Amino acid sequence: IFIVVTPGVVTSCLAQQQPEATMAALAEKSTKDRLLSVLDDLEVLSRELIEMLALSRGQKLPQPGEDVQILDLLVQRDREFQELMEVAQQQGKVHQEMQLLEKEVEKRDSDIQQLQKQLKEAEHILATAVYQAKEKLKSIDKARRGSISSEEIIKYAHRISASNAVCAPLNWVPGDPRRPYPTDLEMRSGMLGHMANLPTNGMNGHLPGDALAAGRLPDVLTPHYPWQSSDVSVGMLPPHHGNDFGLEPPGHNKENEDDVEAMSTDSSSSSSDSD
Amino acid sequence: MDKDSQDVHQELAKLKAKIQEAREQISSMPGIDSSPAEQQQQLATLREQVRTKNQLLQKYKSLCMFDVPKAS
Repeated sequence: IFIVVTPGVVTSCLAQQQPEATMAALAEKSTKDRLLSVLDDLEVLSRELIEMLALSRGQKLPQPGEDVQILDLLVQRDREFQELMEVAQQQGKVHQEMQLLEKEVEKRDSDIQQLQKQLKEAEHILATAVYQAKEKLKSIDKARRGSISSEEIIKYAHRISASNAVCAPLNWVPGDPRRPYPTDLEMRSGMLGHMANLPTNGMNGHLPGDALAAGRLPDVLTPHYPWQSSDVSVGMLPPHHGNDFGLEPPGHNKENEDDVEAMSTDSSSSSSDSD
Repeated sequence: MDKDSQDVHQELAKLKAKIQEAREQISSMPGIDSSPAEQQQQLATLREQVRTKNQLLQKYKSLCMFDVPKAS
């Protein structure tokens, strides 16, 4: 096996010593790269030295001082390697501290995300509450603008129920002409009927045809309602805010008044008995 | 002479193996992927991050909530 000493290797290793500029360039390199580079140099130098020593037994050395040079380089590289290993050890400790800090950063990130989620939830709840409150205020304002006296509403309710519209009178039997709605004759005998002079058309089958044609009811069969009085022109007036209108017509009967009085206590008082 | 060559060859092979092992160990060492200066910079950045985030959390946790007016 012939081992050839390559002077170029020594030259290149020597060249790496000199310039500060290349050292500066090397300083930018990572510690790992520098370590590997020095290790390569160590490998090459040690191989060269061994090969040189092996060669020197048989042949004459081409350059007498080269073995010393190689040795010096080897020692230098070894020193560098040791220094770099110390630096690497320090960097390892710093790396551990950085790992702890990274864990702490992760924890803070998750805390911030949690806080963000809670804030978003609170914002949603508050926005909903504000919206609902605004809607309620609108409703309150609308109700105030359209307020009606409770007395009037109660009076209306009483009048509606007093006409037997919600419940038949207690003495009602089949054949009784009274109905919970205004009958044909009642309509005709009211204001509209008198004003229009409507012809009779026999729609209401309760009465004999003559009486129907005449538009009059026999007295016996005339239904008697609480709101009816001698003055038939009094009818239901349209609702009106805050006015005490003709809910109590001039000729109102005492029966109606009694019903109003008894309404709150007796649930069946809404249907008043006529006759 | 031949035996010496063989011994040299053997020793060289051992040296090569050792150096390769050293290379693998260096490659697996943590924290040396950057230069010391870069690493110090990364460390400072991380410390600053932790400080900022702590401040932010502290600020929001101690944020003044609603001032409920007292009924007169």
